[in-house]
Amino acid sequence: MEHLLFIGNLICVWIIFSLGANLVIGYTGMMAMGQAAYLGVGAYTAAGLNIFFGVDFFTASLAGAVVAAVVAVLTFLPLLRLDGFYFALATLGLNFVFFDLFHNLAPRVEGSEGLYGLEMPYIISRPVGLFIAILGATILCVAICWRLDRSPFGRALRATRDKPEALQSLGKDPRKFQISVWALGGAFSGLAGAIYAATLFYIDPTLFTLNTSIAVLVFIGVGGLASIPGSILGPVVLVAFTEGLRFIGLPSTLTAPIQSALYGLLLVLLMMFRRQGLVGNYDFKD
Amino acid sequence: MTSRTSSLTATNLSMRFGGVDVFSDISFAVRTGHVTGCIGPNGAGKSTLVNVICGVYCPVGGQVFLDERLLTGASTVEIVRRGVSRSFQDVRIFPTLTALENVQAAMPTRHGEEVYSFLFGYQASERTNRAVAMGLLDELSLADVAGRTAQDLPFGQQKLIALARTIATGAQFLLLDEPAAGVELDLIPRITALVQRLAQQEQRGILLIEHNVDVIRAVAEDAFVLQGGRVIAHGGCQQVLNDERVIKEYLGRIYDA
Repeated sequence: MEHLLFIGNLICVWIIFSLGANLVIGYTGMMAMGQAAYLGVGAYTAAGLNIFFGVDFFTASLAGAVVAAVVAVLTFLPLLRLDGFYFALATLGLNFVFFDLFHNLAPRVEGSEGLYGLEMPYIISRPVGLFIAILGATILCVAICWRLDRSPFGRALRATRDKPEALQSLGKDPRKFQISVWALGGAFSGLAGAIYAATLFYIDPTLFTLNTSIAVLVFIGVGGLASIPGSILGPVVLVAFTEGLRFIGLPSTLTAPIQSALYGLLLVLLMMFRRQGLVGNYDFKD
Repeated sequence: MTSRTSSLTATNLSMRFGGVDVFSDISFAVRTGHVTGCIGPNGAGKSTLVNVICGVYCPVGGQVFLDERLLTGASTVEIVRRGVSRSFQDVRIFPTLTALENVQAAMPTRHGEEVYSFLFGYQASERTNRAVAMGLLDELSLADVAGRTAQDLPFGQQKLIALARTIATGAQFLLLDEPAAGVELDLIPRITALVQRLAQQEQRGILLIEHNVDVIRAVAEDAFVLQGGRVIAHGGCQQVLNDERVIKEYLGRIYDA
């Protein structure tokens, strides 16, 4: 039971992370390949405030989201001049820069590589309470994205993705929408990071690397770009897929390689036969 | 709308790419309530002229004024906000938005369009926008495709959506780059009627760049002809279209073909 709740928490973390990445990549068409950096900023901010300054975890999580949004904007401004391939390449660099920052600058608990010892408020100190709180946060994030999807802001994001120069000719600055959505995506990532810390009770720099940035691309690619159901379905399907394989009774030495092989096969088949993802609304070919 | 007339004036505009002169010494004026036609063969520099007026390119010489205020040097976005908007010859519609969303995205109101305002409180202005956008689409016989994704519509209809989008910015001056090119023939009267209404009822000033001389003849009071980077004739529309040099250089070729 506790393991199931843990998996539920993990899926929620990835859903919130995917929602943010999908706003940036799916809705606005910016090839962001360094979202793990903001996940890490959120996780370290929340855990650090809680462990070293005794800030209660709810406030610390919000602070994690806000700090991640601010860091996101600061790192985005120099990238504004780039687009397409070069933009993607530059965002890739964020992974390495932030890994080194976490590794060298972030505080750690004596004798370990990372941070542990979070103090949870009483109502989320037990697994069920924690799961309910995380589920609540996830539903709130889904609701925010659902409003965004139907709002003039959402429309402007899609217009920015489709034809930025046309939007300019209509008197609206695409850069403004790109900066706004990058901040929002950063906030979602930061919140996901804080919740990730609460789920694992331990964070270290290796959680926030290129692998994690690629994982979120895979989540929204499989689930579907520019789609809220896609941001939910991707993590659910892929986490269920990998966790499910544990239960079919393979010898333990085979589980990991078979898991990776099947995962890879799934991706190849999906990109061949259903590029827009399971329930996506956008195809980068457009 | 506004009783005061204002004008968009270009004085001695010149543009050069590398060592190639696109045009030089072009002067003209567009007044509110009037349609000014601009005719010229392919490569005469018509679209570049629009790009220069809208701040996409900075001219190598000359200036553009909106009344007494200098427009040259301002950004494209700023120029639209001051009241000069353009359409593209090659459409550049938002392909994944519906026809209606394309027009709504162009409307100047910003309720619900900011990262801090998208959650609540824009429904009333959105309803108004929607009604205005539907009205424009209806005027161009596009009401029944309003909900269709723009990329699934034929080229002619995309072109009309782009026209509606430019109009929806509310800009006082519209630079329309070949709005009738590629549009079904029976829709062209709709376009000319709309352009006339914009000038006469809404007092907008329109620079109409067109290959189709009949369209120019139908709506423009004034016209000028670009040829080889120079204005070879300007004045009243009839006078320009009857100009000997224009007939020989430009119209003659069309009638020969």
